[in-house]
Amino acid sequence: MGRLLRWLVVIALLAAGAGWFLTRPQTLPESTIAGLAGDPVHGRDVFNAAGCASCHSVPDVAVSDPPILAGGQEFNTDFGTFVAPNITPDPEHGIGAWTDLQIVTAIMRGVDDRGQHLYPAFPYGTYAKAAPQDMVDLVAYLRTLPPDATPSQPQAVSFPFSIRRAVGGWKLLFLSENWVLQDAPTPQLERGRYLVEALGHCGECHTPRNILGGPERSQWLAGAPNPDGEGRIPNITPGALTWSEADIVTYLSTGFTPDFDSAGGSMAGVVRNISQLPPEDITAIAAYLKAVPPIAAAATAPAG
Amino acid sequence: MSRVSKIISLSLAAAIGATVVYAQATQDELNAAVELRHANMKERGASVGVLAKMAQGETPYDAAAASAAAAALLATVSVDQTPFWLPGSENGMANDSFAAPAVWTNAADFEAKGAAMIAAAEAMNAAAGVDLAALQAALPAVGGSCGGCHELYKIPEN
Repeated sequence: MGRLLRWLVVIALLAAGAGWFLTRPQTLPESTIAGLAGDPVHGRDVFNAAGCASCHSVPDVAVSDPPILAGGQEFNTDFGTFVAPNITPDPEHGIGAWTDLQIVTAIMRGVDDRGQHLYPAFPYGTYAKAAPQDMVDLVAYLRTLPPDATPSQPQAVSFPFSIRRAVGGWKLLFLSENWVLQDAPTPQLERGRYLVEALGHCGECHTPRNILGGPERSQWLAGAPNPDGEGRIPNITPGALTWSEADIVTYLSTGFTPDFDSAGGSMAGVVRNISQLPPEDITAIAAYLKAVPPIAAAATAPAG
Repeated sequence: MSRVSKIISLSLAAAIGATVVYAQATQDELNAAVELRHANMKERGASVGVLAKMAQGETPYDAAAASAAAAALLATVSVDQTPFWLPGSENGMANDSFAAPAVWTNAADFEAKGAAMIAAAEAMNAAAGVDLAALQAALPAVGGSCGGCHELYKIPEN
């Protein structure tokens, strides 16, 4: 009996050790970006495609040129209130003192300069699919923006989500480099898939989440409760969105729907970002949205 | 009771009375307010549609039709909107309402957004009949004021 108990303790310790190991914050190796030179001009396109300004710009300033990414916007979720941090080049309060690799690691792996897990309110689960060259270009662009000395605010996350190590488990489950749309037979669809699934992180709002806050990949882009509060984010699969590709392009370029309503809520900011992309990128997004598996409108919860 | 305190009491009573009347909009009245504003928004969309289709080359530029659409837009955005935005008619409180509570809690900014819309419609009204380039130049401000208000004050529809 004593012997069995001893074995159980050993197994439990091994399991805990394995769990501890598996949930450790994992940084990217130097080789990820070795030899890549950042192009800040292209980095601005990446910045707009990735929608960084929507969350990191200071609250209540919808548009500023150049963007002031001092953070401070709050996101109320079931897990607590997340506050977007300062990502300006300020060396003390922003990320000016971080190396390129540290910034790319934060974006693609959700690990900060101190080797600590970041919360997945930051959509690194989708940025994990980004091209390292794009990330290096993005970093080069971020370094051209004005520094701001506003301190980042602490995250107001409740127990047990306040245990950062648990984020490692979330990453094991949901940080995926696999495409949702596995078949992208044309370069245009491949580009659209990259823009939607990797940079644009459209699924963060348009795909429902499970109880752990991970995306329900079988309900990809099928609509979800509005993370900002009231209302629902629409189903944009061909099962519900009947717009033509040209309609989608017009919407993402101007904010106008086919009957000339105009984008509201967070989507207004998304349109502001996407509309600045090269036209062929917007067309590629539209083509992708016509190619994702249709999910019937009835399969989602009724309008709230 | 002194004359002053009598006046104060009377004013207070009147204010309370007004508040009660104000708060007593029936459900039918709230629903009707939502319908009024939806009808107005649809009219705006119809006028903007005429202008945007010309701007995008989807329909040929026609100075007379453009002027008429711009004039209609200006008229639609300039009507007295007091009956549209009855307090208590936000999302969840009246049929088909997509108005965020911030319409009433940020009333001053909401009104500023309305004023920006009128300014953009006035500029469009001056430009639409001139030529296509002038119309195209005036359109982004119109679209921007639609989106600028919807961003903060309209919740997602489905």
